[in-house]
Amino acid sequence: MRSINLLPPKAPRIKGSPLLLSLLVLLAVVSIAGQWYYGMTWKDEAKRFTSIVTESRSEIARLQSAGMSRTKAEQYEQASAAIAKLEAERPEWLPYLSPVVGYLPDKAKANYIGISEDGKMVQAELVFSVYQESISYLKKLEEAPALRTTKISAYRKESEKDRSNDSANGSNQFQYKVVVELQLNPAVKEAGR
Amino acid sequence: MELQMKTASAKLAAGKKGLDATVILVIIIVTVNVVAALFFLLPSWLELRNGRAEAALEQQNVLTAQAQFTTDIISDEDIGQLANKAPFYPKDSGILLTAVKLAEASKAALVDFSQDSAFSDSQSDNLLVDPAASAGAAEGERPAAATGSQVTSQPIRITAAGHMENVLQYLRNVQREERLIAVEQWSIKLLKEADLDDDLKNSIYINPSLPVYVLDMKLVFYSLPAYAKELGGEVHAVSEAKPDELDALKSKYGKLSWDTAANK
Repeated sequence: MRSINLLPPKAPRIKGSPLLLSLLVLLAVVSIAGQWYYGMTWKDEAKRFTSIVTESRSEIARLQSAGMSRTKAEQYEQASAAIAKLEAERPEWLPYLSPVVGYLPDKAKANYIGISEDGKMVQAELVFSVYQESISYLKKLEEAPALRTTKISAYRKESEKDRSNDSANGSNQFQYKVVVELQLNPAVKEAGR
Repeated sequence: MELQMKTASAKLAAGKKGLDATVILVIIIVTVNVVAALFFLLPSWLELRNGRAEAALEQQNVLTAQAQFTTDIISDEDIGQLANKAPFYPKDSGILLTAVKLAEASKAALVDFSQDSAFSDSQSDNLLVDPAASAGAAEGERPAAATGSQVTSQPIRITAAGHMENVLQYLRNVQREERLIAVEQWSIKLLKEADLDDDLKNSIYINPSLPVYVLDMKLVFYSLPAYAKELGGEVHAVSEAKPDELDALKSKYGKLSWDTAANK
């Protein structure tokens, strides 16, 4: 006897372990999510680098437009410092000249005032018409803060009549010639700047 | 028996269909991943790689630019002030003009202006100045030779005549002059009446009835020609006299010894 299957055909059934299928679906989800995560991370990172590039370019443009050559700036600083050093070290004579000339009485005159070769001493040859004025002047020099020591190299009384060799002029007038060596006080020079 | 065989055959067919579906799923997953990698992940990676390389390059360029440029701007005014102290393009005529102007400002007569060759021998033409060594330098020491700045010094001897207050004023003016001048040596001597020549007697600044003094100075003028290339630019400032100023000087002081220096 021949049998006939009258039942409706069964729907094709997906064969396989449900665990395997679940794993495959999970793998699909993980891999897509991973790609999305890395993709977005890299995009963000790329954006950060793009902004670094933009900032760098604007910094370069700013330096080129608003800045100045570093070599030029360094040369300026170097030259400026060298000139400032020379300016600071150059001898200042006015603080020392001030007492030598300033204390000189009206009637006295200077035959010679000069600085010694080593620049540490002022030498002066002065002529006074009044004895007391010469002594007073020397005392003032000794007390002058700009001068460390006052050395009287020579002091002599001279007859003006003899010097002029004018025998017709009756009255003998005397003058007092003083030669002094004045050691300079470097501290005063610094204060006088 | 035959029914059992049919049932087994149907089961086998259904089993094959189930296997195909798993493979299809795997293929779909792989395809989706590959497509996503090609069209989404790979461009992102390439963008990142290029961006990183470009950023590194630009950062290197920034470092190069920072090495070449600085934002500590030094104004032209500052450079001009430096040039006024020590010109980048030194000229003898500028020194002469300074000496004359100072003499006139002091109401003293300039008697002589000369390049001091003997003095020059004792001076180094190019001073190497080390700014760092300046601190604590003892008085009277010459600038130390060291790796540092190059400053050129030019020794000049100047003689001026006038009354005491005027020669002192000249000395003061030299030390207060904008241009850096060092007074290395000086002396003030009373001029005897016999030594008063007609030029001095006729000078508007000299009253022959009053004591006349001669101020003799050894000066050093400084300049910065080594810096002219970088800093010189358009700054010529006071380093040279204009032709009309030179003509005026020559007509006024024509006989003096500086003619040769000015003509150099």
